[in-house]
Amino acid sequence: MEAASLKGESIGAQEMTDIGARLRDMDKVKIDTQVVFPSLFLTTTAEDLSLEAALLRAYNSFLGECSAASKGRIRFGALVPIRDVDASIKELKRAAKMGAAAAMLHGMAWDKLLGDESLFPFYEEAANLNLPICVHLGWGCPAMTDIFDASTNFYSAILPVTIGFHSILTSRVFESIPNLRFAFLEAGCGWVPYLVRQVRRDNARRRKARDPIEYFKTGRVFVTCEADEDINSVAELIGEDSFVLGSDYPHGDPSRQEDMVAEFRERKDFSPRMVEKMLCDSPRRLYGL
Amino acid sequence: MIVIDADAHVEESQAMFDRLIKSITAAGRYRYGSTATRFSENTMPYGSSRGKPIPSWSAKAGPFSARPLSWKRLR
Repeated sequence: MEAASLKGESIGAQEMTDIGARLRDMDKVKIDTQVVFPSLFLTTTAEDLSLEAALLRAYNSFLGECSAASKGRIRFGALVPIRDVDASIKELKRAAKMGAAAAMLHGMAWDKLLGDESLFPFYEEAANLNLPICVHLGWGCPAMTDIFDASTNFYSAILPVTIGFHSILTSRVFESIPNLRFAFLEAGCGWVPYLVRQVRRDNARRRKARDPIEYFKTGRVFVTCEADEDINSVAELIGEDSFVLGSDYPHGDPSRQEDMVAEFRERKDFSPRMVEKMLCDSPRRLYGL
Repeated sequence: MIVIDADAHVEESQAMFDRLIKSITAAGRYRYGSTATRFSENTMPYGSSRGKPIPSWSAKAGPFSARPLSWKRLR
């Protein structure tokens, strides 16, 4: 309570128990639509699968009500008990009717890599619903969480996003499911060139997937970028059309971009058109909005 | 042009789970309020419930293994 109270945003806005306050905060920084992801559920919460599923249903229901109260300005990444693919499909269908704009996964699905083909039926349903899979920073692999000191996000929360990227881009998922889109969120974009090289090496042996750049350039893969990164050098590799921006509101960690819209529109190292792509066009294509 | 914040967050509150607690208590699947098996060993890490004990849960029947996770380690 004390830490939450110290933030600039009201408690009701942070919790979305006061939608009006939340929307006023968005208006202040010229955000029309937010796609919302969790805080507590950035980690695995319960080993008991049915309890986890119940918690996630409660989350999705709450976010669905918030989305309706905001008249669609607030959308959300649906949470699913991914260890049970059939239950995840059922919950994603329910969440889609309530305003979900994506399905959120961590970089690993508990003990499975995201490219594990047992997850493909879930991805197929997401594609059928026109929802992307958003791989978000988080502690999705309990074994990794146990190994590393989680006082730093890097080892057990950020690195798994890159593991997820490698696993997906070396799998045959994009060839198997034509309309599927993936995004990799809150891990920056500076790692993309390194991972593209790694993926190319592995794909040369496995031959399950096309060159990763093709998936960026055809609107299948997106990545968030942050203000202190060399975004232009990454754009030289993947093009300008795959970047999206996230404010991380109302978190107070280093990923937070307080006045993201104004900051990027004032930048002189990007063309105005590229900035509008990052703020408007690319997230609209990612989320199908 | 619609400006889209592609990655914002909600700080989960007790309010988010209150209805769930009622619904699953009614279903008899879990009993709310027991200290026998804890949902977490620590406290709510975020929002206005920060610092308050996370609700503890227990299974009415069958094995139950809530993940013991120290939220204080995370942020």
